Amino acid sequence: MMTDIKSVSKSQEDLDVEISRILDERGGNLEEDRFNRLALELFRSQFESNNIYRRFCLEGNLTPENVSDWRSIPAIPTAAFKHASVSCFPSEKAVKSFTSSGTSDSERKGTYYLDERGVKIYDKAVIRGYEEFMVPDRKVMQILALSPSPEFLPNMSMANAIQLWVNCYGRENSTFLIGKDGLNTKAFITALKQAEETGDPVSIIGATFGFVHFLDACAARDMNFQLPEGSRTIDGGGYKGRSREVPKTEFFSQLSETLGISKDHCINLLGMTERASQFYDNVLRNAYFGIEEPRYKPDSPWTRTVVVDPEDFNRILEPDSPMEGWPGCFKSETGLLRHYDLANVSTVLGVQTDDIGYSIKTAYGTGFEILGRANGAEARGCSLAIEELMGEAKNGGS
Amino acid sequence: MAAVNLYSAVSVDTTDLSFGENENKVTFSVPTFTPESLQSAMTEIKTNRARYLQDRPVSEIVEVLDRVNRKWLDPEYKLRQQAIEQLPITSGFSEEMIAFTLNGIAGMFTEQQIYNMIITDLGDSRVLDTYIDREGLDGKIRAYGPDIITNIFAGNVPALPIISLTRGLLVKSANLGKVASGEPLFAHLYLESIAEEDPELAKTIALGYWVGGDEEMERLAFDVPIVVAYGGPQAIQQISKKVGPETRFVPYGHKLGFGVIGKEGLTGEDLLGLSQRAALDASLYDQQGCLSPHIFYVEAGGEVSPEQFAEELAKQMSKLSVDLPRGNLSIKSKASIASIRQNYEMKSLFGGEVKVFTPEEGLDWMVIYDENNKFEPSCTYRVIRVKPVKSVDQVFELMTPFSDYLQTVGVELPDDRLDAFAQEMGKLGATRITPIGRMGMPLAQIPHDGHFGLSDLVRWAVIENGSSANF
Repeated sequence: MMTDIKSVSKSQEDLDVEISRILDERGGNLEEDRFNRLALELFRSQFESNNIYRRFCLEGNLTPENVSDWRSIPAIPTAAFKHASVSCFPSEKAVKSFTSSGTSDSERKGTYYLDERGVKIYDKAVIRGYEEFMVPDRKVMQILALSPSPEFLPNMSMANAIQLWVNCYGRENSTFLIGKDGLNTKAFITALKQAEETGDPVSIIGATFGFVHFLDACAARDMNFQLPEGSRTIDGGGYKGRSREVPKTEFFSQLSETLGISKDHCINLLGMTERASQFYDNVLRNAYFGIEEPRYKPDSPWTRTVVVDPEDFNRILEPDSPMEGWPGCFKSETGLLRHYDLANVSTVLGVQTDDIGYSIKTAYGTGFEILGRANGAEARGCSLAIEELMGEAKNGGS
Repeated sequence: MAAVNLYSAVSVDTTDLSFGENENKVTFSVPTFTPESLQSAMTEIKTNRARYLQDRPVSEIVEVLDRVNRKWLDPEYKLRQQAIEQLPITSGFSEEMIAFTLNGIAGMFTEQQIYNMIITDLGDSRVLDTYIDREGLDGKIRAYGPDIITNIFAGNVPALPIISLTRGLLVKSANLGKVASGEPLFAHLYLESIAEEDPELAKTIALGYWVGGDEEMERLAFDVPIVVAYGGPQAIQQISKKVGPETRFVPYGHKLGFGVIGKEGLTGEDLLGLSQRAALDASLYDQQGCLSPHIFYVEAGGEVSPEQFAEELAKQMSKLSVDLPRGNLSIKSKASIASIRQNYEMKSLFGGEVKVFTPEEGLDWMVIYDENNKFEPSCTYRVIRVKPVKSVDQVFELMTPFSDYLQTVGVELPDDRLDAFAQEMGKLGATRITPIGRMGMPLAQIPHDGHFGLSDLVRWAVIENGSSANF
């Protein structure tokens, strides 16, 4: 028994080292064989050390003994994080925890715990994503975070991520603009005006609905900015019923017009509490390297995203239909996104989400596009929609 | 493009409306009003109404409607066959569900049923033709419908326009109908069948589509004595803002149903039948009806436990999903159901007081047994919760936050408990208490959302005798 545990922890260490190395490598894709091997090794390690995950796997009769392809590794639903602590370590080893927001089950929030080794790789994944997709030019600039700081909301994964970006790629005047009184609009506008004057580009990061409120306020006051070239935005988190919903292309057009930023510097980010890696639109990276592709969210070397049929989670929808107007690009049917993320070392590699989207394959790699999130309340007709009944998100539409 | 000629008694343009996703996409050319054609159609049907309908004995109208509805009950009838073929495309319901619904709703309005409805509602059918005596009244009374009624149809339950049009014709009004973008075909097919039986009567009805909310169209369409509208809270609210003070507004908005099962009914002997009836309630119209149940509250202490009931209900939901299959779901709905299923499966796997019953494969139905008995609306599409209660009396408190939306309550209670239960439920706002198994099949004669459908449409006139002197 003792030797078993030892051998597990040994291989765990080796795995961490190898995954860490992949995270350090710049660009490129990870060969399929290597990803498959690492994923299977990580699966075995997590199956052995993560009691909750093992119970889940056994429920579906899937074990390291009968799984030989990363696509068949059981992906735990994000909902599991609401009902159990899905970790490979005892709770007293947790050094950080993040809580999900905006999930459909309002009674419970999901919690994602990280131990020391988990944090190391998690942080690296967060920084590497930003480097690859937000600062391919490695530009250090002022980061204006329309978000609370991690001191203010320590369990918010987004605040934590922004702090990491600030540490690596933020100038000293970077700032978190949401405090206990909400958004400090005055400071935000002042910062934008200053950037206009100094000519130093800024990186603005915030919730999608927050940007919509800002755009609406600017439109009402007929206010526009011409931010310095190289300025960029990241929006994430969607609408959650907290603002009117704007179609993506229209959102980027408005953002670009109001702030004077080119559209390929407006990036949508998909982050998730239950997973280390974040997914970014490819447009800024592609503009920098001169790659021509549709806008979508590419996988990183250490992640793979598949799309499954919501009626049958075992059916993976392959990206095999040609995308109109993009020769050599293919997409799958619409389904639910499932991510395999090697950076989730101390939780679970495979996470089944409620996000609706399709996968994409191009000459440059694979990835996906997200269309929305299942809200558990898609009622029509005479029956009541949950939001309407609960009075949330009411009168939010235009 | 589907080659379909939708019948219209007046001349209108068409718009292409598409249904289904990707390769299953089908487009129908749907008759559509412009401000000009709407105005001329309204004038035309009012003229036709004065000529063909206003002075017609109600018995003749009933006779025509009876003939029309009997045709719709005939499996060989070509328009019924067309509806069963095409409504699945627009409404998303299965062919079997369309057929079941046509039987139900057309069957609601055969001759005897229509008379029962008029009598319960207006007291006497002759009152629509002439001044008649009424008990307690010192004089004679008669009911008049307005020259024209505007009907806004909804697409959630197919064949629903039959109800509106029947009422509108019985009070001898011209009827303008705005078809729902969600299901624009049926009203036209029904009008065609009226035209087959009585072309003149059909000429008092104009149907068409316009984009809901269009200011100019709705200014014209709502400039009538009565607007009847089916729809969700937002649609109803928007319409109500546009209806002027001179117009009577009759809204049929979102409502909410649930079922209550007392311990006396939970015996081994009755379990099968009870579960079959409950499964029908939860499956009909794929749970899209305002009368569909979201939850069954099941009293503990019977021979069969609430959990055992849930298990048997699941078996019957499964059987019914073969006989009366669920319709097509949008990807968003599928994703929502899958998401709920995952959540409950995780809850149940990791220790919550829940149990989820699902098909081996797919998302055709789901029964969730949950000991937390808080009321939660279902995402519909046959996702039904079973929650235990210590006593059915607990339901009053549980439903109090939703009292504004109450309508149908399905019950399985012995007679000696039914009355007390109904008293409290009525106080809370419920308008229809019916046996489990009948929730989705109301009678024509009952009040609709708490008011009588014909009374809402008429203006009363009296001739006083002048014999009793009050002052």
